[in-house]
Amino acid sequence: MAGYALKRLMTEYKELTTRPPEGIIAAPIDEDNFFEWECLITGPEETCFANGVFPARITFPQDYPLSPPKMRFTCGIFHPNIYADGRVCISILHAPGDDPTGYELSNERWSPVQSIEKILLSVVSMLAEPNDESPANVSAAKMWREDRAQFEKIADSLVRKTLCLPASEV
Amino acid sequence: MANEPQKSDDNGQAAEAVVTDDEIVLQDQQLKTIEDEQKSVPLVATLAPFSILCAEYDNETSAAFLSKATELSEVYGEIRYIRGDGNCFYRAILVGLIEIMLKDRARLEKFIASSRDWTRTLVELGFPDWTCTDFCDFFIEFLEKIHSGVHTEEAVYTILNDDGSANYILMFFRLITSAFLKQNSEEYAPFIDEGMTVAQYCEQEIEPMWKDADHLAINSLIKAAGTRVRIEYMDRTAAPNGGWHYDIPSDDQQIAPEITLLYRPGHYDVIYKKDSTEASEIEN
Repeated sequence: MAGYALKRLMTEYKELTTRPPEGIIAAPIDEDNFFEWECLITGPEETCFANGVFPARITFPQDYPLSPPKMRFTCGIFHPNIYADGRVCISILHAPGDDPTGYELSNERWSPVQSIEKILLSVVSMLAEPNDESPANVSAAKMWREDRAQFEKIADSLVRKTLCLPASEV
Repeated sequence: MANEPQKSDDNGQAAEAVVTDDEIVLQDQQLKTIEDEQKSVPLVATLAPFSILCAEYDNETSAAFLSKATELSEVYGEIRYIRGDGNCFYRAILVGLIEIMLKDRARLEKFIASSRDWTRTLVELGFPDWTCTDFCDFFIEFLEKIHSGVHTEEAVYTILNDDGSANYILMFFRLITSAFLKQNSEEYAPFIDEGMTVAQYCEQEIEPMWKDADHLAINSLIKAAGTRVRIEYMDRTAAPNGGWHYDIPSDDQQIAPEITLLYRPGHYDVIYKKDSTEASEIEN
């Protein structure tokens, strides 16, 4: 079964290297294991995550692309749609009917014609526009809604951390 | 028609549901149990005598189904069980067509040509280029290997029972179903509710694996694949016309269907007529 998944992952890797989406790098951690990828996502401009470079891991199932991969940030990001342990919770990583937080019916779901690139682009829009209607991290959602300044401060200190800069003076 | 267990099915509707790790572990275990249950049945079983179906029912608890199964056994000689994993309708049609093409070389050639046409149509309709053509190429290669004799009949059934390749092939059928709906969206839009567009409906209900086929999907796949199908119902309340069987397309009843499916709530299997009873059918 893994043969088809491997072929598809190799094709996607080639696509992503020849035509990389802006601000995103993604590749297998080890060329001997195409089922575990590492990626770096640049925070979208004009948001509190701008300039940050956020590392994440993507784990593919043996029956990829029939089933979706899982994605986990490894940098302790505080965001309404990311669990405290870094797992990303967006609709495109789930097949329809598999609704951990009850997404809107019209949200984009996983199907085998989707791709790693589509997932990564969705993650970038998620960073830019958190969905506080179906939060994975309730306290992040609450702060995003009620204390935006504090949320932005936390985001800023993470951005500095990912860039190895000292914490903000403010 | 969503009675069939799906690979993943959790209709958590709560807007602010907090999913704990324990719940995730539990959910994973439940999904694993459902999956194991499904996998105890082959994707595509070998042909079995129709009497095996009658033996599933007894007079005490399921008299109506037993009597219907017995009635069908007058006409149908064999049954091929299909795994109930949410793909059964698509898989039943796939198997039915492959069986026809194994016997009919001209039909196989025609189907290879129309599969190539579908590949182009999918791209024209805006399906993501290489992710979707990958499934088309895989299916066409499978058909070409049947044509060239690389795949013997035995090999074909081995492939149709290998989860990886069988499901890759099955995706082609989901894609052409979706494409047919999108091509005829004006005709089908009135049947889609909840303010969804035809495209959204296809992305949610047709393109993802393990999603049951509803009546729109059934109609579209049969037309897209250019076949004629009879569905026999164990329970006549389930038939769109209130009868015991239903033919699709329903426009011209003169031409005999070439694939027959048996519908039991939430599930389809393939059934085969006895040779001698071609002419005498059960009337409604």
